[in-house]
Amino acid sequence: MSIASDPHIDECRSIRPRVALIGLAGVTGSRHTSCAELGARFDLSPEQIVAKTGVTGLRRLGRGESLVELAGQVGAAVLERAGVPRRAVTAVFGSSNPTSEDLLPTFTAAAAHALGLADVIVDHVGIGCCGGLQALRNAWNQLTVDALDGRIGHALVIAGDHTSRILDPRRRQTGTLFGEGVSVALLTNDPAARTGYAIDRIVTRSALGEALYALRLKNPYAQPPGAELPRLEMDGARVFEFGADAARRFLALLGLPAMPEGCYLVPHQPNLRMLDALVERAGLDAARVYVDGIRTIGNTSAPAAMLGLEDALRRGLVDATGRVMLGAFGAELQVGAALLSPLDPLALVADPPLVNTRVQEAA
Amino acid sequence: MTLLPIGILGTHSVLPGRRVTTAEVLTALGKPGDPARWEKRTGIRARHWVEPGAPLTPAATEALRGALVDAGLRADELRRIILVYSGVGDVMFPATASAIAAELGLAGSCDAFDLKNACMGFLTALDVAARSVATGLGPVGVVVAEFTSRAIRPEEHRPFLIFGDAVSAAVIGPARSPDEGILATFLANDGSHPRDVFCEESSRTGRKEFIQMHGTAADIAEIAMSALRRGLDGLLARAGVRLAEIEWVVVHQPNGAMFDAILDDLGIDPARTVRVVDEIGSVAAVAIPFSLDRLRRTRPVRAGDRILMLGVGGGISYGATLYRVGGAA
Repeated sequence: MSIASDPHIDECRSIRPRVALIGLAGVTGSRHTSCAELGARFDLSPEQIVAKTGVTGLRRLGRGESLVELAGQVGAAVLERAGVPRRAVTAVFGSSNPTSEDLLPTFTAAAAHALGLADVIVDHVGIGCCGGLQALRNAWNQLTVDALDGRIGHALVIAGDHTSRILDPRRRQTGTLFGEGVSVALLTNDPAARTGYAIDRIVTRSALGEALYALRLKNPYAQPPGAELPRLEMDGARVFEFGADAARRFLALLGLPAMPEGCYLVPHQPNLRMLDALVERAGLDAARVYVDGIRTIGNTSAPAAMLGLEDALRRGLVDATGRVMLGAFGAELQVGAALLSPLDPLALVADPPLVNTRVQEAA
Repeated sequence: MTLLPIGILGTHSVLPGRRVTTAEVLTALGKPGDPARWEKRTGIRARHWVEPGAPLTPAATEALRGALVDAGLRADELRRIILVYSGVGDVMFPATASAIAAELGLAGSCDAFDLKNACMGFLTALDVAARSVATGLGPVGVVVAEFTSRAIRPEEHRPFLIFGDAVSAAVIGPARSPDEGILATFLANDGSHPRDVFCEESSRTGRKEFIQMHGTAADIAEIAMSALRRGLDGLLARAGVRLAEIEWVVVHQPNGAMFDAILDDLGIDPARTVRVVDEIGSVAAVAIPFSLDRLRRTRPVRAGDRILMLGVGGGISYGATLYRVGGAA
């Protein structure tokens, strides 16, 4: 592993006002695909799929469901629960692969409009499975500087992917892995915030040369006339090797020698075997690492870690007085991590869920 | 507003591919009659188009290398690379910014991601970059690369006639003097006009999609002008200055006629700006950084001067940034 700890973290800490995550919700697609159905499609037994991926079923967007509409619904629910009026939202940061409604305008701009937000800053990043964390970091950046400037505000972080649109229907490697959903987080730099988590540190980095194109979707505009639209390509072995080392990368990025005492890790949910290897290589306590997302909904790409945090909170997997580490990694290969300190995390989750039906249906 | 203490340390631009005259474009459109009339109507004499299938990464890397030289920095000093475009990079994912970093020999020393906000992409990325630098993560390389010729076709006349390809880069780092930095930023999106200029997602429709412009030119111009006015007013109010006090103005240039209308409507003295659209066409998010680069290279920009950057794009997205030059311009 070549990633050194970030020398700028100390600078960040020395000037950092507090940015807190005060709202969180997610939704997965309404269409459930069982392992038996996947097995029939790809000539595999359900047991083989579980053994290879850990997936027991996938949740994908159903006919007529759109990422933008879901983002609008989830975002509205998050704002309502947090008691934050739309006019208090100053920026929307989002991420999705090119799987939403339009290439231009972006998913994030469309989601902001679906939420009824106008005259807000909109940033859209495209970065694969690490996109949600990158958007979170950009929102943190925005609010941190605003706070230094004496301005209090709120930012939404919206991540969603409709990955089945770019899958090769003939490839079992990817066809058995990806689920779909949207996560929305609400951040504020209001020092009076007392719910959710404070974001202590957040760092992203590109590992690049190690396996830049281990995951790739070619550009349709660079293909010969008449060519089929490109589909997701994955070099599973290289992705596995990178992902299995991810927890050590998270720690290095955050400048931590080891997982803090009592800290719960919510990593990206790429594949259960990879997560098992991640736990083993970093010497982590498996009971403090979230893996249920890949089991029940599949790899949702950009929103996976945030969906996982919500699920873990809802089901009591996280000690409400303990710290949480979010970790993401994905195409190119990008890696990012955030360390959160509890304010009042349980206030984040609504019971019943705001819009998420995943827990009930997939249990 | 407090000064955001950053500097635009270097800029560089690249025109990739072949220069294509408006006469050639009209021939491709089956309208070879009167190029002069169309040149006058669009304000565009020529644009550059890359060869079909040409990758974006080499030109983007060249632009960033040039900006680094201009800034007097080595590539390994970059801590973040942001690639901006309105359409797509070389691959739909991962981020093409990563390929640029790899071309520069960087691995594991900085993060790299692609950012999109239509024609406002540069000012959006500049804001992200400035905030990154201000929170300890810099210098940041911002590369704006539009290979829009990939997503236009003769069947859609208006986009085919105006769009060109271009790349421009800027390196953002800590301020070089106490008074240098971003004086004010005003950015906004308003999604109530999403279908004026748009491109559907190919993965949704199942076929390769192209840029479409709906609505009359007059309607689009009115929406854009209204947004520009809001962006300018918002910025000036935030900065507490009047337009007449600002030394230099760099404004989005969607076509020549509209550029003239913008200058006229907003009362911008042509001597305080640069005109690039006539020779490069409409280059979407590149228009502002390309103009900034041209301004820095061809006009007597001095330390202490303020540069207003003002834009509007699809979505619609709009806003402005006011930067005060420090050190040597």
